[in-house]
Amino acid sequence: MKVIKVISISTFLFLLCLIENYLNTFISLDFGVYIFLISLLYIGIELFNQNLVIPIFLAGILYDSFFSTYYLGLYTSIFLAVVVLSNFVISRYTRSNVIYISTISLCLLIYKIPIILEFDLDYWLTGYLNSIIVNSLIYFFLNRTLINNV
Amino acid sequence: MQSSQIVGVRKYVVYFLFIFLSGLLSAVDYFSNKTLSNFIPAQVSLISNFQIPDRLLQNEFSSLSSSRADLVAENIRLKEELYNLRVLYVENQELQDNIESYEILIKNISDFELTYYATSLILKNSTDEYLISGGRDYNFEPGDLVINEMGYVVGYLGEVFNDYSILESFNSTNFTFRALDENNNIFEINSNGKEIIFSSLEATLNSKVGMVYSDITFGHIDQFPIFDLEPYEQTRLNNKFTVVVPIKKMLTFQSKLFIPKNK
Repeated sequence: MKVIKVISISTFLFLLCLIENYLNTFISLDFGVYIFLISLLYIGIELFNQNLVIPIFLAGILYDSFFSTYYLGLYTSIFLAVVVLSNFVISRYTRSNVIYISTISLCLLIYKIPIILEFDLDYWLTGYLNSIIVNSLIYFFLNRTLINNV
Repeated sequence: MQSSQIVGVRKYVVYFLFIFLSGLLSAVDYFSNKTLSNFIPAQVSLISNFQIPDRLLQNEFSSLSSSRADLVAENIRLKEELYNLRVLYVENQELQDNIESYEILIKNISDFELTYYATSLILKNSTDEYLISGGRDYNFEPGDLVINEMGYVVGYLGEVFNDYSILESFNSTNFTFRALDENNNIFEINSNGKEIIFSSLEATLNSKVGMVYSDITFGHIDQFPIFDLEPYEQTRLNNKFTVVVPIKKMLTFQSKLFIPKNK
């Protein structure tokens, strides 16, 4: 039962990752809709659990294997780092919109680190700032919807 | 207070262990020349089993709801007939597009000794590299040139998997390419994501740079044009040229791409 649960969560996360890439292929504007990052943030902030480390790890390995030209493990560590950082910030400071937005900004910075390290500031800065706004709004919307449903 | 701090740190231990494991995997992958990261894709044909709906590829989002509403109102026989006709229509459109793009390509290429495999965009990954259809099933290899229907180079294959490949285009982080101009001056081409930078590697006596081409001396399959640098501002320092060209066009699902291979 545990194995099935791990496989299902890993598959779900990998699918989210795939949908995110597919969605961003359509978006020609200077921002990205990072639904997988948002789900990682949600895991880090609301559902942080040591049992989720293996599904995130497996989703990262699958992403690294199939869709990345970087070495195996790079995106895996990025995904895990995003979850750890988001949980660390949220558990250290009082929850407020400013803290949420700062967490999203920091995590997006880590998430986009391969591009940030390779390219100049003018390539990614506008897209990065726009993406913070868009993804923060999505996160707040998602958070409220889920809280209301609960 | 002290115990809650320890608990706070302890809850991340498993995560840090897995981050460390990921780092180890990266190190092993680096030293094994990517054998590890190619292991899973070599066993699985992912794209052949994953078909993107044609309607989405054509960006016909607006017509989705109306055509669905119409279909619901029809009876089962008409539904099936309509569906079959639509499939035929899409197939027909695709074939027409292919014929058109091949016709344009034929007008723009000079080497008919090569086979030109049509390929198309699948998706863009997090590092702005494009996944395109066709991989080892078509004998594609890393470094193979990818050209558009005008016969111009748009990039090369960075990695090749069973049934798809990763295209290093002008706006991908790893793009690096060598080319020759009409006077056989060697140029190194790099990208900063928004601009393509052409830098001549040797001193030249020519006053201006024109068209740059791929060449067999760099392991390319043939000579294909890359860019006409004449309209752009050319900086000359110690008889070496640097030309910066802004990237205006991005690849889309409608882009027609070809991979030339030996017959």
